[in-house]
Amino acid sequence: MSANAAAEYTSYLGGGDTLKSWLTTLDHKRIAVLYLISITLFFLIGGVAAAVIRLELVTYAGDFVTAETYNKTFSLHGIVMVWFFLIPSIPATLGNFLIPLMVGARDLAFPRLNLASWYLYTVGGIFTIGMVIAGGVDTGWTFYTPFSTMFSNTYVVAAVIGVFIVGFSTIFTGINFIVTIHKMRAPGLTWFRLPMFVWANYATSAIMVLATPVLAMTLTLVAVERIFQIGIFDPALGGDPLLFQHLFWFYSHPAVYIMVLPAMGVASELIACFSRNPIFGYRFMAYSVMAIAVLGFLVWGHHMFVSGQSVYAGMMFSLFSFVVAIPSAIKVFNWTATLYKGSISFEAPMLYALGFVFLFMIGGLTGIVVAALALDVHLTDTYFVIAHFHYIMVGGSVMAYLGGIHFWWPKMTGKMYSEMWGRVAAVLIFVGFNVTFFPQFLLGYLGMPRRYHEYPEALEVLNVISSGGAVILTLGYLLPLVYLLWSLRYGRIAGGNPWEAKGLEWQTSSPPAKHNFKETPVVTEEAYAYSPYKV
Amino acid sequence: MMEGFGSFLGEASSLSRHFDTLFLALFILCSLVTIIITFLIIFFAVKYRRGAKVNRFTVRKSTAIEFVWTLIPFGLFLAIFVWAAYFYTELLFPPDDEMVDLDIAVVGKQWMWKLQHPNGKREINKLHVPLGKNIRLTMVSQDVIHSFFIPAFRIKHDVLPGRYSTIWFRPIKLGEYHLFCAEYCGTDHSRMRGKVVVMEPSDYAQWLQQK
Repeated sequence: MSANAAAEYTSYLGGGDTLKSWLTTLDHKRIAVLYLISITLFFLIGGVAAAVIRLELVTYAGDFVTAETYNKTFSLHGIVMVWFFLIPSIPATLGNFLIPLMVGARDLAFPRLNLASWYLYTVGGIFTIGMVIAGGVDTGWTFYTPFSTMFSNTYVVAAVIGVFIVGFSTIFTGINFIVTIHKMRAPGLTWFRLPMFVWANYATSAIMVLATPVLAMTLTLVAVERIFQIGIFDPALGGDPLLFQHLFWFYSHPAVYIMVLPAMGVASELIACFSRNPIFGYRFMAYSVMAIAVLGFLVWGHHMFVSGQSVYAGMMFSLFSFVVAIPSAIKVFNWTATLYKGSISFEAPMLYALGFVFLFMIGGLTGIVVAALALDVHLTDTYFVIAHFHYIMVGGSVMAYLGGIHFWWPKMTGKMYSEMWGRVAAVLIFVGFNVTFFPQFLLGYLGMPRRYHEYPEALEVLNVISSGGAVILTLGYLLPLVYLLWSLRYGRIAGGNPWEAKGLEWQTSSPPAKHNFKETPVVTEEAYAYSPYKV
Repeated sequence: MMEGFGSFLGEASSLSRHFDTLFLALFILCSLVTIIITFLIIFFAVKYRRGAKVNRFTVRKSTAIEFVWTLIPFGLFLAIFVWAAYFYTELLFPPDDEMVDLDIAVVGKQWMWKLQHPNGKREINKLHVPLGKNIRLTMVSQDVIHSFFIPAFRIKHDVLPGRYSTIWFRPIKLGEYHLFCAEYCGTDHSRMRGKVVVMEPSDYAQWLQQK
């Protein structure tokens, strides 16, 4: 056996474990691990900010931190969670690791671009942390003008530069996925044999590549107005503040789908595997993710129903928002139907997946409530909206992300985590999440505005319940950190395919060899060729 | 002192009840979907758990069922869309000039509401209005974007610099109600709050004459 061939059989984790070998790696699997570590750090930062917010809101008076600190805290929470955790979460970790494996390729199409993407993420991250150390930013993650450009006395330019940079890491990842999925599929792996996870990341990549440049331009305009006082958004200088909102939401609404489409992909893999059934309505599921990606570009104005946007424009945006609910509903119905006549088992990843379906459904239905024009007039900018999008992004995306991490953990590390603790954490997170965010629907219905440092006393009870739930949720999030790390050393050996799952990633060793497969796999069957009879 | 939720959600304007009816209709529809799906998930999960002796044979055909379970709920939700859109025009388009009983000017600035009555009387963070009259607000901001929000009236509209926005309401219940700024506007955003006081028209006329 030649030296080259021997390298094929060593695990991607083995051979070269110096820091340098990691920081200069071109292996998509190692880059996925780098991303995993980085986004976990940012999740912790964003989580600490969330804890400060919930602590402040335990009492109706603004007595835990000053108003200024509170405003900077929720701004940090939003900026970090959106751009440094949720957007890269599933694509940059699980996607990076799995897409080449799932299509039977040796790596992504552009390994250097992939590494560059992680470096850009890191530079953007360092910029953001530096901005916080310098004094922070108090504009909220939405940077609404003219407050951000002319009135805020905080580090707005530094904040938008951080986001600008991290945006390019997203674009790079998107380009890489699109080319890989188009050009590097194994023989026999036709489009309609692709796992839903690949479809979902493909749809996501399209949004990343098309929407993120708009964000970059918009943030550049904010910096230009702030630095040079050129009138773009501030009416005092001849600008239009609503122009900013149109540009911002043109990116930021599709960005919601960047956060949730990959989660849908993960849920499909998990539900199919643990019910031993092919995904029900495979083609509808594939068309649905593509439809969501396209329709997602037509609904941005539903963030602006009371902004002064034309009433008739509002009606079109509302209608399209109802239409985008169709493919979302198709997803939920088909996941449910996949369970029918399956052979269902309840390992931790499946608990996360079922939790995801329920919470995503609540998030989606309350999305229809705020898409209904007259209802949104009362509910927009209140805690109802906060609860709604946390059901989608935390209840949905984070649940699926954690489910995916558990499901593919044995593949990534070669070790099994403790199943019992995995289930305990999944249940804790589900309960903690609901106790935290359900009361916020009631708060919003009563009219509590978001971004409030103090609030009327009558609303205190619901806020206390919400903060109590956040304690449970925190415990739930810390547990996996402990038992997953523990499993690296003490976990039992996983073997190639511990879940007896279908999909090319399970046909190679765990952890996979450096170049993924000994020889290029040939695909001869449909995706999810499970059969519940054979169990 | 504890206050009830009445000063938030008491049906205090002519539009409040309409809002609540629409909300209830959509709430029932959403609950139905939630209950059916949740029931099916739990039912399947129990019935088809691994090891259970059940018939798992099935012929999978999806096209027809996809259309049925998509289009029927969509039709129902579309009715809600039309209803909400119609009601939206009622909320956002003020009545014709001759139907307006009282015009009030609103100026938002960091971090207070300044309100002016037709006879020139001004107040800050407190708005006195007569019961049962159509009241139109013409609003503008001196600095950043604010949002004028009275939960008990179910109305909200952003208050922009350099552009006038109008909203209207007809209070139908005496009492004091919360007024919030709902668009984040800087440090003391959460202190940009006030009260709307709904009075008998005679009391209002008297109040208006006081210095």
